[in-house]
Amino acid sequence: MTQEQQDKTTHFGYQEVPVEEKVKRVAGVFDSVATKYDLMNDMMSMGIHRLWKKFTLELSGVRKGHKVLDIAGGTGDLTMQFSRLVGEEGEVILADINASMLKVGRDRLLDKGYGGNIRFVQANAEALPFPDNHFDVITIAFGLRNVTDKDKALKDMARILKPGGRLLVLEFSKPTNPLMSKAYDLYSFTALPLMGKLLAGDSDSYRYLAESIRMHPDQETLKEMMINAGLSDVEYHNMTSGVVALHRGFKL
Amino acid sequence: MQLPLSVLTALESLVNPLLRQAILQEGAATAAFKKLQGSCIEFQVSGLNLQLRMQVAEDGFYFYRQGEAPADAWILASAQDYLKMATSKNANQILFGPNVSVGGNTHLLEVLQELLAGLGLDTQELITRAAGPLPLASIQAGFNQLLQLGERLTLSASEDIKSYLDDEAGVLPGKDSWHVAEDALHELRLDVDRLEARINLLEKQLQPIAGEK
Repeated sequence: MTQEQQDKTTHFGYQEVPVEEKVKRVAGVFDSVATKYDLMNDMMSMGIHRLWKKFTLELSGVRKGHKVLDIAGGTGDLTMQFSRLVGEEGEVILADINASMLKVGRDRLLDKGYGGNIRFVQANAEALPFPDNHFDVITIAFGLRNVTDKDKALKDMARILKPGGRLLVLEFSKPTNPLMSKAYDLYSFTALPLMGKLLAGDSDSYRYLAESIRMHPDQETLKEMMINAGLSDVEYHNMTSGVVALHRGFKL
Repeated sequence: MQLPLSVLTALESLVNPLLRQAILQEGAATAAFKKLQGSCIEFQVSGLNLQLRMQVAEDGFYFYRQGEAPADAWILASAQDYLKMATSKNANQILFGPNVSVGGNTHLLEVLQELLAGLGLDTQELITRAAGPLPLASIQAGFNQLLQLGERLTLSASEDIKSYLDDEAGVLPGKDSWHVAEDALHELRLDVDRLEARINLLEKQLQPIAGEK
């Protein structure tokens, strides 16, 4: 690969790939896992992902009448809960770059009777098709690590937030405990791909999951990135010994 | 003090299937549930500094430990009073009684009670199921025992203090003793005055004799 080509590469898990290829590869992963996504989330996290999301809701400050954007919302876990909190006067937009995930999310929400205050948009986090100063709350749960240009995405999220609005980023991060870190590595690189193979018929996608987590910025780095994107009072909360972190910043 | 998140999700798993089943039967509970939809009720436990928010959605109750928006209604009671309300047939009396504080749109609390009554739940069985093998009576007895222990400790401490003060008061002179001592002191002053006068007289008598010498 030439220097010019190297400059235009990014990581896809542990692989270096051209920037334009990452989007396609990530799309391929989620096309493959979409129908088994919820099952796999429950199996891989042993149900703990529900607690992480509940904590996110508690810190979101969402209330009746709010406009909320759930980026990379996938199968709609958070969207469903936001829909309850914002009420009829509010609005929740479930946005995802992947059509397969969006379809599964929309079907799931409609089947459960949600829909009145929810809209579904296929959108790229790096170029969000919304006006400036529009949303009270934006969340991105387990999606940022799949974004090619994270800085660009964070800046765009800051752009469309209302003054006083908040951005919440829920994502896998770096364990704070060395013992947990070793156990986590073993689990990620052995158990996850095996589970992926048995339950979803796809071990490669779950290997990518484990690798992409390792390539994602750690807690402090992501905090700096959010500050550089124009957010203030950025803080993070480690959960499950840092396996997951919730970052929150405000647009002032 | 905050409840663990796992307790909240466990509570949702316990409550919502029962609620949905009852709602399907289209009884009094259904009407009450519709009135509650979209509302948020906050339960505060006095003494433990604990709060629980319940969001009522179309598909059930969802619980949170905190929230920034004010709740539509709130209730502040002790853990024991909550237990009484959950298991008593006169829950309304307890709810609006002197030991429980309520605020916001209190009509929602009445509707919640109607809903719970309409569900026809065996709350004792539910609490027993949630609390494991520990029977409900033991939980109630446990609360009573804790309260009684607190009362005994307070009483014992106040008795000890009173006893100490009585003992110390015993070594102090009583009122009569003070009068006797006062009289004696007065007599002594008079004796000293007489002695002083006697000395002055003797000195005067001795002065001419000293002058002749």
